[in-house]
Parts: sequence; C-alpha cells; structure tokens
Amino acid sequence: MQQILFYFFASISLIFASSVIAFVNPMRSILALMVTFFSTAALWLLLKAEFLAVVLVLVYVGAVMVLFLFVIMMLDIDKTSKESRFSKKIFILLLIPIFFDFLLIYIFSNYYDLFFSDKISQLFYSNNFDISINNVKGLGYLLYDKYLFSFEIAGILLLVGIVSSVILSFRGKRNRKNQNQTEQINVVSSDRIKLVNGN
Amino acid sequence: MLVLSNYLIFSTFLFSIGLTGVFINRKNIIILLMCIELILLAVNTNFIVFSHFINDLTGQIFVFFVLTVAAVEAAIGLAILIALFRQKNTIKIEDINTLKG
Repeated sequence: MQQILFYFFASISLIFASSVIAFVNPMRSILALMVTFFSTAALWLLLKAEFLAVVLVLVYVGAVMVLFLFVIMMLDIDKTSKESRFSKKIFILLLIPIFFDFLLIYIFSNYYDLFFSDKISQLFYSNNFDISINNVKGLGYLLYDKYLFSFEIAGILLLVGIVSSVILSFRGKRNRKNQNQTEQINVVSSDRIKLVNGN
Repeated sequence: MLVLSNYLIFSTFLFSIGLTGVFINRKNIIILLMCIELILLAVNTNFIVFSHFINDLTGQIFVFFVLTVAAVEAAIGLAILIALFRQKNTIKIEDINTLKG
C-alpha cells in the first residue's frame, strides 16, 4: 500500500515539476508547481512528517504560491509569453542535470548495501529523541528547547524580509500634500518677494 | 518495502528538474524563482527522508528553517522583481544587463 502511494505521488510530483519548466505561460506553471507541492506533501506524510506536510501546504501553497500568482497577475505577461522561453543552447545545458543524475546512480551502485537496506539507521549516532510518540510534540520540544536561538533568528529573518520587501516596493510619497522641509529651510528672500524697479 | 534510495532518487530527479529549469530558462524571472522553489523542495525532501531513516527529528527542524528562509527569499525576490519591472518594463533575463554579467 505504501509503495503504491509512493509511486503514485512521486510520479505526479515529477510530471508536474517538469511541466513547471515546460509551460510557456507562467500562470500554468504556477498551478503545476502547486500540484507538485501537494503531492510532495503527501510523500512527507508517508515519511511520518505530518507537521511539515501541513506547513508545506499551508505556508507554501497557501501563501507563497498566492504571492507568485499576484505578481504574475500584476505584471504584463502577454509580452513575455508569446515568444519561446528557452535559450538556444538548450541541449548543451540539459547535459548538466543529466550529469547529476548519473553521478547519483553511480554513487548508488557503489554503495548498494547502504542505500537499499535499512542498515543506515545503525550507522549513525541517533535517537536523541523518540520519534515514534508524536511528530508535533517532538518538534515542539526540539524547537523551543534545543534550537530556541535558531528559532529567534528565524523570526528576525522574517522581520527583515517584511521590512525589505516593503522598502523595495515602496514608491515614495505620491499624491500626498506634505511639506518639503529642505525647500522651506533653504528659501531666500528673493524667492518670496521681487522688487520691481519703477523704470 | 520502501527504502532510502526510493526517496533519494525521487528528490534527485526533482532537484535535476529544478536545475534544468534554471539553466534552460532565459526569458522569465518568475519561472527562475519557481525553479529555486523546486530545488529547495528537493533539499527539504532529502532532509525529511534522512530524518525518517536515521530516526532523528533534527532534520525536520532543519526543514522548518529552510522553509522560513525560502519564504523570505520568495518575498524579497518578488519585491525586487516588481521594482525591476517598474524600472525596466520587462522581466526578461536577457534584457536585464545593467551589471554587464
């Protein structure tokens, strides 16, 4: 049963991930990316990472992808979508990912015993926490105890993200009746009054 | 019986698809950002897989932070994209050559 679910969701995920880069219309590729995230969240559920699967759906599909959608809708995509999106050296560039895949297959074939069995858990010093009780509970214990400092830094990072994205997209004061202090300070009397000669 | 390599091969393919997207895509910056999201998804899957098979929750904590960083990165990247579009009136990668890269 687990295997059926794995192959089902993995194939859906890979198919839609490749359609993300194949679609010409960015709107379609964002929808394909959403499907990819959903099926990968299902794979994470198979790995007993329930909390992160829910976070992936809520934060990623719910917030980040909607942000992407907003940006695509705001920008003028008609100009960019008509021509082909791909560069001319596509076949040369495709070699690089293929190289990565063959590298991985090479590693797998050399360490066959390690990767195709359950022995890996014996190789590592492990079990600083019992994973079997409750995923959310265990994550909470780790996050608020051992990794509290990192958690705070993540909060600061989010704050920096908010501030910088506001600053980047802020266009300055427009259509607002406010005073220009520099102009007011630097005013000289000849700006205000002009003495006209009688002649 | 699902073993480690099933998930590792899956995440490698996902990573390669993201990398391919970064390389072959020359027109649209939004697709480039999406490919970065795909790559991060593959990395996160790797973290969770090893966390499951080693029986250690620390990998999932790591995924938590990677998700945070990825969300911030997407927000700032899209803000930069909008600022760029206002300046240049294009989001093509070819047209953005101010830095002469």
